[in-house]
Amino acid sequence: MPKGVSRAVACAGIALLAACSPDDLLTVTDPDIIDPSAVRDTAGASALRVGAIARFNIATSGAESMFLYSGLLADEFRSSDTFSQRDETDQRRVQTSNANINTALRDVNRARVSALQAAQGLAEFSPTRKGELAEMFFVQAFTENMLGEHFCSGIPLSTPLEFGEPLTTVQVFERALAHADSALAVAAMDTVPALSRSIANAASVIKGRVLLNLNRHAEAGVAAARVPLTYQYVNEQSQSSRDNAIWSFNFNARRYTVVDREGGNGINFISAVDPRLVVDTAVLKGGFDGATTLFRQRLFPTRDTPFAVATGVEAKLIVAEALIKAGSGAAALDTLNKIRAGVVRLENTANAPVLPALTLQVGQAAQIDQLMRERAFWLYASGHRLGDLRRLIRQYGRGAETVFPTGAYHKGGTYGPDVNFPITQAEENNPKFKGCLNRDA
Amino acid sequence: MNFARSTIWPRAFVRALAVLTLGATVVAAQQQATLTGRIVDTQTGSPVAGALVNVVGTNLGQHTNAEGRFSVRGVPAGAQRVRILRIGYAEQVQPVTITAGAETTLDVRLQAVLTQLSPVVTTATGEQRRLEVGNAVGQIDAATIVETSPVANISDLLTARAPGVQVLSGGATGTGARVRIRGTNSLSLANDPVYIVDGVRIEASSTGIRAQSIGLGGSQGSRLNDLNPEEIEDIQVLRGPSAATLYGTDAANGVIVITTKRGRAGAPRWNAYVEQGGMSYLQDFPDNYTAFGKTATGTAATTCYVSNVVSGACVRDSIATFQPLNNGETTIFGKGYRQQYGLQLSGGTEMIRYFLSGEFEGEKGILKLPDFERKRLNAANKEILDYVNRPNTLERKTGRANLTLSPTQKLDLGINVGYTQTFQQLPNLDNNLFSPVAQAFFGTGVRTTTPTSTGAVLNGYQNFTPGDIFEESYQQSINRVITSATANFRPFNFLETRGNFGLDFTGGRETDLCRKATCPDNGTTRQGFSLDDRRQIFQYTADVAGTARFQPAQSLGSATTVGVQYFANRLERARSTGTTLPPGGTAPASGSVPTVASTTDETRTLGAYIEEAVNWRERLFVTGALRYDDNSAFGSDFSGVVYPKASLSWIVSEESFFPVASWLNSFRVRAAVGQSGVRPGTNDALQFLTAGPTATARINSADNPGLVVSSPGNSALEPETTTEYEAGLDWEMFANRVSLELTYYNKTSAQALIARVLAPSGGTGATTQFENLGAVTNKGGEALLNARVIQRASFGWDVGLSGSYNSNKLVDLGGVPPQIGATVQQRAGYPLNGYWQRKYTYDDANNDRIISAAEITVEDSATFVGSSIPKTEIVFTNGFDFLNGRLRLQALVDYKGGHYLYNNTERFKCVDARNCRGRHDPSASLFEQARSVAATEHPARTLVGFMEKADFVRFREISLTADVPDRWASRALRAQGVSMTLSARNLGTITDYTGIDPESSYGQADVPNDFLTLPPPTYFTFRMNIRY
Repeated sequence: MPKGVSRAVACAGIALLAACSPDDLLTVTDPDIIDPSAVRDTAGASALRVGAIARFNIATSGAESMFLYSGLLADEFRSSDTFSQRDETDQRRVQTSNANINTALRDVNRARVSALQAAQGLAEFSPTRKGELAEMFFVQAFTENMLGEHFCSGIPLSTPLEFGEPLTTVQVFERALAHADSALAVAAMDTVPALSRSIANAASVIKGRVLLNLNRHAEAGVAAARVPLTYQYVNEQSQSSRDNAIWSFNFNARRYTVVDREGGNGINFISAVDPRLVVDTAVLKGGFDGATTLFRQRLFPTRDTPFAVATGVEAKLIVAEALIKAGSGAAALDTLNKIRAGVVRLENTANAPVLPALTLQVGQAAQIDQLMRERAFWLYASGHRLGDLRRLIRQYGRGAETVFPTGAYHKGGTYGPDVNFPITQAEENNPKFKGCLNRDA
Repeated sequence: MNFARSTIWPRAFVRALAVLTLGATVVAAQQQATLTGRIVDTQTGSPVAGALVNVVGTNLGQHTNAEGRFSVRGVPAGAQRVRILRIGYAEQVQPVTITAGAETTLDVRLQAVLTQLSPVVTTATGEQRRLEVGNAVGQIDAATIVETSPVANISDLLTARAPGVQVLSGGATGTGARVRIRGTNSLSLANDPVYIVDGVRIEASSTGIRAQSIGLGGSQGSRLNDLNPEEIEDIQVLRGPSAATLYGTDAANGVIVITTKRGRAGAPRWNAYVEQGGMSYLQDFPDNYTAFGKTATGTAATTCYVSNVVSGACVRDSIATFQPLNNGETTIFGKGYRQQYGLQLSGGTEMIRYFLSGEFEGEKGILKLPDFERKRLNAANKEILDYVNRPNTLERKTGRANLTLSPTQKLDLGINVGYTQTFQQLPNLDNNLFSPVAQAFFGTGVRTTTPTSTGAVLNGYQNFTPGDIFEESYQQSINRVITSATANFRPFNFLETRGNFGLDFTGGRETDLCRKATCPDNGTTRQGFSLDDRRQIFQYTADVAGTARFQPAQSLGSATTVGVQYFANRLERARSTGTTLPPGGTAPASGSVPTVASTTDETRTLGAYIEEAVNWRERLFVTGALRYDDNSAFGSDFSGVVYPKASLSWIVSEESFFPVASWLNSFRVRAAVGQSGVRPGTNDALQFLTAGPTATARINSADNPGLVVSSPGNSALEPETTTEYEAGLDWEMFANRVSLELTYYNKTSAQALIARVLAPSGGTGATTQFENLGAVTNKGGEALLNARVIQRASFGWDVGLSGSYNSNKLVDLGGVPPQIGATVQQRAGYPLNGYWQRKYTYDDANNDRIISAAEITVEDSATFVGSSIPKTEIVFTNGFDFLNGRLRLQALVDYKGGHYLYNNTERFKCVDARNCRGRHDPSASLFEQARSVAATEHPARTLVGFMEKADFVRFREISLTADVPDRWASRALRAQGVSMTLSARNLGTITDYTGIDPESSYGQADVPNDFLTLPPPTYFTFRMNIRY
């Protein structure tokens, strides 16, 4: 090659290299992610609120959440699955390494933290949207109450920036109560009250529920009394966002089955033939494990059946329990019978079932039994049953062996001693976490 | 070892490169001449093609053509030494006096030796004599192996060929392999090596969406297997950072350098080949058991587990066994068929050389529609579509054109283009509800006559039959082009500059379709769905370097190399899905609920390096180098990283003080140290929010887009840095008939990127966050022995023995709590991904030959069971030559051991499907009973009984190759030569492992898991090569 050509080639190469800026060569743009600066305005705050509602949906009715797992640990569902994580939950022998429970625990905290972040954004950039802000406080109260009802004592409530100290169950409920009060206070300040009115009712329901958990029944009754019987705070489900998880896992995937008198102490959800929980007794298919008989509930018969997570029915049940606790059994019965007289909580039908009136039970214990059975049917698969069984132990002096499934487990072995869920092993990455303070109810 | 970081490094390297290049133009030309000659074989006198003729101390050289001739112009006048290197021949160095302006002739006769090692290796700085490199470089003579061994893909080519390289291949046709070199380095990042083809980095991920988008349960296609072994000349394995430092970030897991075939000057040479073969399973599969009986208190029929009988809860009537996979009418396994047709052309002149290749390859896997399903569908007059009949197929068309231009003695230009078109069908497999293997293992002990809602009869399958399962059509189409342009410019004898520019483009499309009213009746499946996933992957390479050679003193040589490299990998993916299809609908858009998703993922690396290599009297070679890298995935607080390396190679036997021994030809001592790294993921350093389905909420009957905080990010994220020390000894002995390599290495991955689990209470979307925390070590040794035991005209016998041992340990978790999974734990002081479980002992105290839960004693806590990765690998090859080498028989046996494998299939049968022998059959061994009871009835629920020692010896390959006499070949086919090879692969395994196969592994992840995975089948092939 002539010298001139070689020199030109060499110079061109060097010039090309020298012209390249390393910074330019290494700059990468990823359209799949969004910079945090995107939420520093009104629209961003609203988007955070929508995200928080999405995560609340996932933490409750839109994914395999504590609604399903607590039903499995209690007596609402039996595992018809092959996964050991569900089997051990059903068997009341939940290990701290249980990946499914870990995910559900994350989901509850994601909803809680998303609501916290959205509340901060709304307060800063959309201070006039009181209803939305109140809703974010409601979500925080609801999720904190979920943690207290389902998990052992010693629950940290961290944020992405700060590890939380482990809180006792009572401290967690008190945190939830404070957020419920915040929701009510903010909603009351709203000048455009359409959403706020609804959120005030939802907050009242959750406040009553928290107060029940705190054994402050009279206050619970007062808090819940204002809620209309027909009120519902509804999670909407759709195929394009997310399916109703009860439908998914029971009706569709066949990993959960409705169960009758599980472990002897369970409610007869199937044989009761109660119109509040229609169950397919004609067995079309076995469970996912190929061995367990599958019973499908008809409460949520389609993938987009909405899910009411806080209702006027629950409010009246709270009022009734407060009345029983106050010694007004007859008034409580009257409240229960008003619900039975034709008010809908059933998501699958516009028609309210009319149930025969209940009769007055003798003694508070029997009245509580009657109330808890009513709660079991009215609130089926909505994450209430485990909390109720724990309260029966904690507040009404029942033994765990008298309220939880016991004896031989249907897949071999016997039921274990769990009355709640352990905080999962992943939480050990929080240096302040000490493990469960106790596993008591 | 930490070095100062600076962002000015790239510019400094550019300046240095400029000085080297421009400086060359001002050096006065010397008086020069031409050296020509011919290289022939000492014994046969036949020309030796492809030998490298190099003027020592310069960059002047040339490969001999098909007639063994060479011509090197521009050789400086005066006394020179010329070195001739060729695999299979002893190195020669000849003195020659070059007369200015005249042509000097040098004819050389080379002595053939037994060696499988090439005398030249390819490094980041170009080709080097193997003896000058301070590392042991693994070498695979691909061109020879594919002609004489049962090699269907790159995975087969890599398996058991190089010490320290462990390959775990897939069982189904077209599935990929996991390749690990010198152990597992990283806890949280991919441990795949880097692959370089003709100087260009290629995409070869074994997992993730770059490998395959649609999950079918674990079996994934392989982008590595897009490469055609027939087009490859050789493969070299740089096993660790001490050898791969200059390949930069990502090279910590080793580098596999692949060189495709090149044309040689001479008449056109045609090579045609045809391969036909079949494959099948030779083994049976574990039976399903059902013990029938009645309840003790009544007459109700029930399943009588052994424990129920012992407890008196059940009275057993009988025990039934059945396994659909072992029954001729119900099995999904049949005979597979393989065919391959290829034609290659090479040749050219000194100025233009070419290699052209084209091939068609087809493989019909062993999966088939069972006979009972065929009868059902025929009876129903239902058309049996091809993919239902044979759901696992592969068709691959490949083409390659490699063109080398040498317009002057100082300039070589190369254009290499390889094209691959792959069409593959895979059914659901492995851990998948619709896997027919899973359905077969989960059935009962009888050939059930239960009808399904689709009209099929289960015939022993659990819930769904293969006819319905195979109606789901999964197809993958790949169009891939790997292209590179190379330039090698030698403006002066002392200066060589080169550039490699290339693109590896992969266009992939995957579709998954269940037409309306087809597929298993589960959930909404029979409403139909269609998924269309399209990907484009771009892997760019730019590599520019210059090497200047000087001889400051008579006995001292120096080579200085400066280079800059740039790599970019970009994935663009669009996925559409439609569910609830109308009759006849097959496209996602025809579904009533269409959804879309897209992904973009990109990472870029810019690096620069400088290397100084000096030699003293061509005996002692010392090399030092530094590489600087910056990467788009590093945290914003981290500017870049410097990787150093140094190596020494000393041919001690050439020293005057070394005692002369007649049996010793050469003895070399080598040592090397180097660093390299592995980068974090594209967005691991960033704090960001995400939108999409997770953040979408349905409010007032409308879907609203939202945002959620996903990752907290880590702005200080650095690459994981691995430092490796390597030392070794090499011998050539007994007239070069025996060669031995021994190597010790010790590598530590510091600043290990650990996906630290985030506490759930933090509420982050991400579950983990990468942090530079821990440290992982891999220590071990490798040995390679080749020997020509007998070498006569009528008979020859050669043996090869290679072995490797690796000890892996997670040294430090950096304060992170132990990562505890159900079967695997990550704890400091123990191997990565080791199996942990609560161990037990059992004792049949009442001598009833039944193990009950009370007779099992379980430890209180989980302890280490064993490594999940083989520690030791030994490969033994034997070759026998007959009839003056015209008939060759060779066999390869390999051993892997020192590890455990989780027999998850049996665990699932016992625990979940409840059909294992140990649970039903009182005559089962106590071992089988104990592991079943411990997992199902003992409160501890320990799974340790399913973690089995998985040592095995596999009869991997055997082949018989015959060269047809030339006159026969000429008379029958007018060919210059014809050879025929009969071969078999995976003929048998010796092992105590009770699962399907000790090499069955679900997925290609770092924790092997025998879970419903197809084992590797046995291949029988016949191949004919015809040369014109």
